[in-house]
Amino acid sequence: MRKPTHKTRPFASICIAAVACATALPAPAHTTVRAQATEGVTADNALRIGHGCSIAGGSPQPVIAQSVVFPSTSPVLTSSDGTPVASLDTVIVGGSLAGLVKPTQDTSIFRSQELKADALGNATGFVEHDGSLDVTLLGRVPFQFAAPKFVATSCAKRLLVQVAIADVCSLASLDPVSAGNVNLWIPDNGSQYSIAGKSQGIDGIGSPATLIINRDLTANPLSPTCGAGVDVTVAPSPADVNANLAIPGVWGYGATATSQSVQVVEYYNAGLDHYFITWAPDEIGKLDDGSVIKGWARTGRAWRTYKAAQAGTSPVCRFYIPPLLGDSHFFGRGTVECNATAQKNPSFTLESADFMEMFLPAQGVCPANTRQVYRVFSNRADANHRYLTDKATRDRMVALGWLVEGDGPDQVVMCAPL
Amino acid sequence: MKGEPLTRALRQTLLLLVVAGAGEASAHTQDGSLGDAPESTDYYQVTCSDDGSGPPASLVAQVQNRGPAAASTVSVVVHRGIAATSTSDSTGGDISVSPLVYVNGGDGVYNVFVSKAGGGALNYTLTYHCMTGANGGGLHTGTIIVFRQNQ
Amino acid sequence: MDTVKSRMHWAVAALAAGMTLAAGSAGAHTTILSQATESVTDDNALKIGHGCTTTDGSRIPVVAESVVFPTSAPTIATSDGSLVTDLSQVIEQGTFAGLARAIQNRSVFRSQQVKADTLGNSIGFSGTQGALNIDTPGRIPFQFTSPKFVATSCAKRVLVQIAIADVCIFGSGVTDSVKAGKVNLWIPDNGSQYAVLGKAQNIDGIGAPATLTINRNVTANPLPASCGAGIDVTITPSAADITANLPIPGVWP
Repeated sequence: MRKPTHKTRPFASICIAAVACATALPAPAHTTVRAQATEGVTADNALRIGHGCSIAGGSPQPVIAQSVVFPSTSPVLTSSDGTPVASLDTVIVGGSLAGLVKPTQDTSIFRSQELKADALGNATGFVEHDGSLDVTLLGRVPFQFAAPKFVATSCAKRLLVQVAIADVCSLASLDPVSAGNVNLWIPDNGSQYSIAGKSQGIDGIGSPATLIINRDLTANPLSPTCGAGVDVTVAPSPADVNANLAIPGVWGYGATATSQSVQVVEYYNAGLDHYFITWAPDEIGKLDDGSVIKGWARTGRAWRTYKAAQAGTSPVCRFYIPPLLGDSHFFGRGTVECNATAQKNPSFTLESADFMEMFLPAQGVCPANTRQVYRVFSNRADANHRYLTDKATRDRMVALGWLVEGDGPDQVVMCAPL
Repeated sequence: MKGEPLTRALRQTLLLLVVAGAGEASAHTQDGSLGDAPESTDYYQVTCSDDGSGPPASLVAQVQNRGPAAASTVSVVVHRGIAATSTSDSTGGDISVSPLVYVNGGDGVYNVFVSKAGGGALNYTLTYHCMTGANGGGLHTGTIIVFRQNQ
Repeated sequence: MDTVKSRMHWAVAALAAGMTLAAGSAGAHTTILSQATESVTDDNALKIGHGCTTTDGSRIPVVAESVVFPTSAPTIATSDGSLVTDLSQVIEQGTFAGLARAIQNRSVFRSQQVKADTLGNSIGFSGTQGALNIDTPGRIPFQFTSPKFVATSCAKRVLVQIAIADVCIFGSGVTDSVKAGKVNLWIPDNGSQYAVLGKAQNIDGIGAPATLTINRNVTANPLPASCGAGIDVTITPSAADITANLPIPGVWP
């Protein structure tokens, strides 16, 4: 029995209104795929939307748009027994999931639907918008899926297709990935969306919807050498998610006409004599809070970057350097440097291939209306780098023994928006 | 329980690593609050079922004390059949959450009790997932929660 | 010749009546699309077979619907007459509250509402601002999490009777709303306000609630050996439950 108390119960307070009483309903599930599929069978299926967006203690907001991306561009393949899977065409006939999915026309939630397609016009997903899913109801977004056939010689008994989904609840914020405005049912794989989403505590990171395709073991039995068979998981790559999750003109990084830069904040740990930079709000929050991640303080220095690709920018990757080599982070400018870093340092962890978007200097000269960024290396066993826009401070670091890295007479490493 | 080869803390630590490895970092959450009375208890029942992802093997849960900051420890007990476990978050209003715990009870009803150590109202967020694998592994599957008692 | 014409007239009339009757019964009751299996969450749907037939014989569409699952002190009956005093002896959840969830769908009703108990658990749902074409069957989707059968129970099937009102014309108050041609009441004949009024008006559906059949997974959860072939357990919403929860607040009756 409920006792009369003076407590505040977020949902109960909303429950006073007749319709809003239903908002007290227990929170339902993730966005998932309704049914499993069988190889070689084309059948109807649906995405199940379990809930809208909310922040802890806040009111739920309805889903008003959705983006769905099937893994198609260089997907990440893993096998349940750890054996390498070189390519998808060793698992399924055709070697690709492009062209197998089609949304079914249905206006129960969204009035607009568009197909996502690759350069050849093969469907790789779809988007839905101009709608609203009542926060008290469950949503179904129907689609047709033509399940591929398993390669006869493959040991795969199931193909687990991870589908990246963005359930968008608000288009009001300039930042497409902000708490309470979107749920991102996407792999936690270092995509722009997953990094931003994790920093915001957004629901769904690491929980993409999974479409299970079952092998027909009667019509297409496993080879005796396969034993019980394996599960092969197909996940969209970070690049695939970065490139295709947006709803053009509606939501997502680079999706709208307005380009927005964000502030990069510099921190210093006196105990380690290390510097660190980030634009991610959650990281900034934790560093400023200091209760979980201790010892870091703002230096007062900041500059700006883009979170999404702009005309003329290049991706800046973020690596974590393991403890034995520094317990630090390195930001590489451009794919050439990033690839070279990865190749030379296999123990480094690539946290993001596209953590920032910056302009690169041409022979050490930055484009007009940008700011020079310098980089210095600690030149110690515990490797650390510092990124500065102030040349005088850079020179003082050099005087302390740090090594400068960059191009041209001023040794510029990259160029930041103003 | 006597004779356990692992200490409680170590078992919870291992569970945290296991679940982290499973990639289930997202929230299947229920916000709630407990009243002033120290004995205030919220009682939920979570039903684990096969929603197409496969039959459930386990339920994982954790709780976050959302304060106020001076609020007492909030705990969640998960029970099914002859198995039960619990986890707590002692600090209100910060970003920390309790360790994840699990019960390998298969499909069916799990009783989930949220309570606190002392007087004073507090808010909490309960996180829960039914998983197809033991110990919180595998894929997320059918998970619904129903209120049984609200204090 | 008059005799022939009379015979022809009655033949045509009979044919017409047969056609009318055929049309009226072709849509059938409002029922449940699929059976369910314990411990499985899946989509299901109500099948609306037809609208209402007014006193002058006109067929009119369903414009609103109310759906109530048995959750408040339901009646429990067994196929072998054995006594079951509480639903927790049959299903682990002990109640159907929270197991059925409405799915947003605009095919028939533009507006949907959820019914909930005092704790906020779903006990049913309703749809309004609708119009189901009189020649077209309707589907009202919902998600259902089938409960798990208690391992020691002899139930092999649970038959869940669901009370449904398909509204075609809104009246003024209960008495004016529960009239032939205005509503079909697919509800148990168990003495609820609606059953009593409905029977008096010869309304379609009294005693014929929609039934959701939940099958035990006898492989994963076999019947105890002492149960033999097992029994059916029928769960029916109580008269009080229907009287209290069948209305659509602010809309019907």
